[in-house]
Amino acid sequence: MIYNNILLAKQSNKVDFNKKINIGIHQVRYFGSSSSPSYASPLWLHRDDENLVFIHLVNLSSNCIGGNNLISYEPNKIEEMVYLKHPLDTLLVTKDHLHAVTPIGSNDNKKAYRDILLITFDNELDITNRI
Amino acid sequence: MIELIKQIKEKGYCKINSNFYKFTDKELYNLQDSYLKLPKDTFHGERYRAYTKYIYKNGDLMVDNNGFYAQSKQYNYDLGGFHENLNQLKVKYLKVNYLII
Repeated sequence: MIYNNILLAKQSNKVDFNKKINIGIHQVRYFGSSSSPSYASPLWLHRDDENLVFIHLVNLSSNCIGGNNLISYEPNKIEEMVYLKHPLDTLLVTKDHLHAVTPIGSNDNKKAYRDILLITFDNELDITNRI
Repeated sequence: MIELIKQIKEKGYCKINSNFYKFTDKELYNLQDSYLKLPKDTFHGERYRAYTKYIYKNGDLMVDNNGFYAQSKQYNYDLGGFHENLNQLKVKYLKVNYLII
């Protein structure tokens, strides 16, 4: 999976493969109900620190509502809404636009889950300056 | 692949169909199963998370054991500016889950 992403990243010209590259692997389980929704941080439209972010859907419970990825080029307009439905469906985002994902809840009395694998690429090796 | 690159360059994002990634049923099951073992996030949002970082240079992928996770305040107005002590994924674990293939 990572090597498939490296192939895409190389051709995207969004990261410099002549330099060292950070590849972050981030597993996230959103686990929520309608009375206790699960949500991303930041909650609304933003860019990430990393140049390339692969958002892979790993699993999704059948009672899950929400979890729509949003793409925008300006803060007051949504360009596209993307719904990752099947395991390994992926959205690749960059700093060229803003993005967000809506919170998840459930449509029954059980908790719902949305499992996401984020694989990020950037050339910034010293991230202590983010603090 | 060519169409995906075209979309990235023209739109800055692209949707990738699941069949771009060749996982067997067992590999996918193992990856999905690993989410049951994630620790609960100490921050808000009802999430469970783990993180690890690799360094890629000249075709080599090396785990960065000193890597920690942080987002800048510039990009994350909510949790930016913090050093997050997320549980690190183990190299063996990642191989078992077929990410490093």
